[in-house]
Amino acid sequence: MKHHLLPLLLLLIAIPAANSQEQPAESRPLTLTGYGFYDTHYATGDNCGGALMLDWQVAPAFTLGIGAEYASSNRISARLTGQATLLTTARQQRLTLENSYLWRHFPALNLQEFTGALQVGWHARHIILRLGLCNRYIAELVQRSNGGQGTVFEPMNVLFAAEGWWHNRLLPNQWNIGLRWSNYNDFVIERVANWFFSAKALYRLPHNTDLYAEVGIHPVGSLNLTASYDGWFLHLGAVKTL
Amino acid sequence: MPMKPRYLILFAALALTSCNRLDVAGMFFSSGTHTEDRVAQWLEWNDQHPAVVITDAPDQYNIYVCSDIHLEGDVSRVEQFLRHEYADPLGLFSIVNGDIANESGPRPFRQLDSLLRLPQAADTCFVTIGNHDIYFDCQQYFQQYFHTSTYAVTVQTVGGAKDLFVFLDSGNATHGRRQLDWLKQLLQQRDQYRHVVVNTHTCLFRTSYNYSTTPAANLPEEEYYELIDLMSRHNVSLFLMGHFHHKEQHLIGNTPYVMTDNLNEQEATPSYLVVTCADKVSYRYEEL
Repeated sequence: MKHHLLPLLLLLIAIPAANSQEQPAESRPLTLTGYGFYDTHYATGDNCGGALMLDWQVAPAFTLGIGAEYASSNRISARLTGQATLLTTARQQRLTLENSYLWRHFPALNLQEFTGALQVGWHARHIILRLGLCNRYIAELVQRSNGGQGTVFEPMNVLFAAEGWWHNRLLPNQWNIGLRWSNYNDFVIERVANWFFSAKALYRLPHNTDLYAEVGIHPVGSLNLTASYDGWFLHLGAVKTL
Repeated sequence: MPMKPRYLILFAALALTSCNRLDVAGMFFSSGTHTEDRVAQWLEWNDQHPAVVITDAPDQYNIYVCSDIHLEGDVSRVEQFLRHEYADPLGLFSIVNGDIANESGPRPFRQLDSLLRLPQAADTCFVTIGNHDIYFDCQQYFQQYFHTSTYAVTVQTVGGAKDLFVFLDSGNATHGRRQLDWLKQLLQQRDQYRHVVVNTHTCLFRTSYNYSTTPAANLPEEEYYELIDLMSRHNVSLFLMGHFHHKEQHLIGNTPYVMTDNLNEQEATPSYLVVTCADKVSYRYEEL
């Protein structure tokens, strides 16, 4: 079996396993997240745009997510995510398996990027840890359709995220702040040595709505003997739970 | 009682730091000069010196390219590489595409400079800077011996063709805005040249994981796609990279992206690339 089919197979195994679990502590039947963003890149300039994501709890322990992003450089991204809760402890800690598919279109050369990722997550009251692998195709489709080459396959890139929150995430808080370290965000999966460091904040409004903000920096070449600053980013938006 | 693993890791990191083999701080924060500052230095040097133009080259000639030589005393393999180029009747010049050093201090740069002065390796060698060449402030030694890492070399053949070789600094896993602007400006003149060959150290792709690719870095995503777009729009004939210590070839647009293996002394089967510039550009790997 080709190893890039592994995430799909594991997801198929995970769905029935997840359905057999109890209702997870973080019960959010339908969550809509929208934000505008601004990001700067040291070498290539600035981007602004917006993103919209919808997470639907289709089964007690299975959440399906879809999302899309548009950037001013005409970059378009979309993603599909399935998250299965494999185990919930008495202290409401959850072990999850998350399978995501990310498509990105770069106006440059009509390049398309297809990424399949599989992650294991540990969701505790104040901490979320995720570790996984992804496979990526980078394709120049026009050239492919003309019979040429133009595809690069990058297998088994490591992706990770460590997130810490001030207040217990499982309780209704008026506000919460957190820190995040990872090599990916909602619509970007960088290679393992290009990181994002960010600070996040949530502020509760009426009607199950939270204001959301995230600001971070993006160094490149970490662990490469000589890292470099690449840019910073800002996300401002809202999270609505239905 | 056995030492706890975290103390062992800390001790190992400190030991490597103290013997100048590993710049621990530099792995997380910019140490030494920043890409943008360094490129400014390179361009300033270029402004004060005439650009290199090689005239009367044959219409078909060979370029010998290697990378990641990581000099640590024994220079025999690099010397062999340079001798092969010099012995080739069609050999015009050689290229060392980054990572001359494997340690701090001037020794590796002095060693390569001495090799290039040998009578049996007397053809010109062009050099780019790699990530190992800038840690522990080694860029000062690179600058002392090789002066610049952002520059272009023109080859004029007897038949009237002109080829352009571009050399870039990607030692910090980014080329920086100033250097990309310089490159874009240079590529505006693409029509004047038969072939354009671009050289940089850091590899664009991460297609495998082994001892040398983990945790070595690639360019950030946005820059990576911009660079590929730039190469394709200007029909660049060949894009040469090193960094990951293995052979790799891809074709995107009309531009082949070729990674050279290393000439590291520990590597069992080191190899280099022979690029033939004629009506078309072709290349082949040669094992030492």
